[in-house]
Amino acid sequence: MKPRVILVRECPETLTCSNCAGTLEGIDAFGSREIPDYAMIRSIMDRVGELYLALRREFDHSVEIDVVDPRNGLYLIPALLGDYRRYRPPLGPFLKTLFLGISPASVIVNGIALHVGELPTPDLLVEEVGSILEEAGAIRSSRDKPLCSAPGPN
Amino acid sequence: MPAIVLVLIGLGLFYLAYRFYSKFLAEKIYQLDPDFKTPAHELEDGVEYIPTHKHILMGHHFVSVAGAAPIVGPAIAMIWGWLPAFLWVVVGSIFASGAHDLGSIWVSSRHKGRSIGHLTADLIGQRARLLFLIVIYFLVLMVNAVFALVIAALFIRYPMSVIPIFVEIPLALGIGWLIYKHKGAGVLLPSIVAVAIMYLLVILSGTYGWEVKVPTLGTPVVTWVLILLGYGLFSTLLPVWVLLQPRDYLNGHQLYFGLTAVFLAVIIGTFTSEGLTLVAPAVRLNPPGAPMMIPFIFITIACGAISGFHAIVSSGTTSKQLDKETDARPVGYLGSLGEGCLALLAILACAGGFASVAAWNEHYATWGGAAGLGAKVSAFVDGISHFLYRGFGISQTIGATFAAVVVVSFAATTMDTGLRLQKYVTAEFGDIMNLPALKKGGIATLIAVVTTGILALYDGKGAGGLVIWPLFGTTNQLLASLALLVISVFLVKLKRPTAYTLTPMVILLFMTCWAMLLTLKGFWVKENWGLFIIGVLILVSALYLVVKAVGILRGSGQAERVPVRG
Repeated sequence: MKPRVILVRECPETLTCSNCAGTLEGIDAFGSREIPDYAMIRSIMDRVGELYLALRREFDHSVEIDVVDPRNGLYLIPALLGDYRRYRPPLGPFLKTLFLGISPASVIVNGIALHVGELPTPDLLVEEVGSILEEAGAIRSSRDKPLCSAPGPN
Repeated sequence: MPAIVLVLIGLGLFYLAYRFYSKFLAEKIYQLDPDFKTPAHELEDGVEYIPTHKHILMGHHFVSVAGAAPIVGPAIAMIWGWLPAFLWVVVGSIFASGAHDLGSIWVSSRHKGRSIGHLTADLIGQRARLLFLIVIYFLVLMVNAVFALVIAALFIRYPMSVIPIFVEIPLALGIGWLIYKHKGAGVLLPSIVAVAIMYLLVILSGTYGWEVKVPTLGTPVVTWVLILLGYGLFSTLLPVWVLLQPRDYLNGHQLYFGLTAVFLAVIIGTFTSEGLTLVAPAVRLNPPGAPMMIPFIFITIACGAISGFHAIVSSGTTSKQLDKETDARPVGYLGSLGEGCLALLAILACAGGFASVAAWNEHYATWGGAAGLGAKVSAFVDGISHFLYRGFGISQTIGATFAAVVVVSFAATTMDTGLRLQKYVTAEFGDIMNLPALKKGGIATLIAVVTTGILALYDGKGAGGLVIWPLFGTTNQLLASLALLVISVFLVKLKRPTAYTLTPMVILLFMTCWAMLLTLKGFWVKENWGLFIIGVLILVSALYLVVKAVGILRGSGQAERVPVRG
């Protein structure tokens, strides 16, 4: 069974809370990194981006990676419940993840939040996910592969 | 007619449209290619460009397009009866909005995820940027003024909603602190607790009649608009994570909870002994004081039937995350149907949420009567409270307070964002015109708040919402026409049929220009020079963009500037 990593962070579309206006792409400042209003959130998004690329580089498509906005309850809650069914994590940590693990800077692996609020370094996350993969015996021989840009098998 | 019939017809048509028409558009017109390397794969960076599962993207897209506008427009348009509003929402969502939103994502994905706004600038030239900024500035200015008036009207009509709404501010500040500063805390539980506290206050306010009276400056509307603008000034100066983002988390839960509660109430209420019936007339051709149904219905309901905002602004983000090009169909087309569902809900509430025709007439007897815009929007609130009463036996006072809190929460977030946006556009004007003072955040914010206040209170009573709303609708629809035109230009380049995008574009452009000219004539006759000048500026700017794009469509412009990856 392919492990799943959910990286929770703000999505560019909803970053500006604009209610039917997305990020207003015509207005360069809206949601921009250079504007102090958005600096903290943008920095989280950039760091999650580094984690995403590190995981892709290391594990290619042998790991399922979803990047989801914390507001996207329509997807997140059913997805986490599905992960509980798929991976059977301990109930206590799972419930804690469900109610307290979805933040604008979270890393959730197989239904359990590994990091909430504080993001790990890419190396640490790769190590953590690697050990989970090894435990599950699901590791693929995909290391050393370059970043794959073609659609994955999922 | 039973209200449930309208729901079933609307949802049934949406289902058929998605099943067949969107398939036709996707396969025969846009020819979405599952093997096309989307920008998300080509430029994958983990931040903007990420191949994202369609179900995740649908959630993002829906949360970002759902707001208060698909409620306000149908609530106003109900004055012409429920049938015209229903037809425009259904036909508009299926044939105009669906083609528009899906097409925008497609065109954008074929241009490295660039937005329609940027593509328009590429197509027409750099002058487009300034005109685009002018149009956006006034569009947002009108949104801010209208929503300030909507909130003020709801606070006056439902004073028991004031406490829950104002308690939402410290709750949101607390959640922001908990998530971003305390760290280690998630969103879900604090948000559920905060929403529960708000709804507990709704129940307590509704039960014990906790009303908030404020000292009146001029009129109650003027007083509330000034308070709201004071709040807007405070909130716009804060970073988004402090207040705006956490408010949006609470809104997300309210959206899901509110939609579920109301649809359930309609279903349950239908099977009660009294049932839920549509008490509004099907068609009213000449309501006293109202403008002509045609063309005005086409601009009164913008979001919910078709909204230029969606393409101009969202195309550049959703398209950057498309895993497969074929995902544009569920995300774009279904997203527009989702907003159509919100509009259907508004129609249902405003047509069926009353015990009698007399109760309905309190809101809709005349265009400007019973405080105009406030009366129309409160029809939605009263309608929802009626459904909740019939469905769940919830007292109508509590139901109305609940519905008012949900609408005000959305309207307030839209106003917050709008003021912030105006601040940035003002700063960009400062950049273009070399006026450094305008680029300072404090000054730009003050300009945004003051101009909004002037527009909202221009008549001295704060009753101008119904005058401003058509201008908002017109601008939004002109932008939609422009987006459909850009999509058509791309289709021409690929030698594919354009009838499915050009037909809605021509109808929309014609209706919009007709309505705008009538609106301008009204301003002229009433010597309403401020709004007349704003209207002319918007019309000329938007038409210039459209005319230039038409020129390119006919092969006489700079079409070669747009790279084609067909």
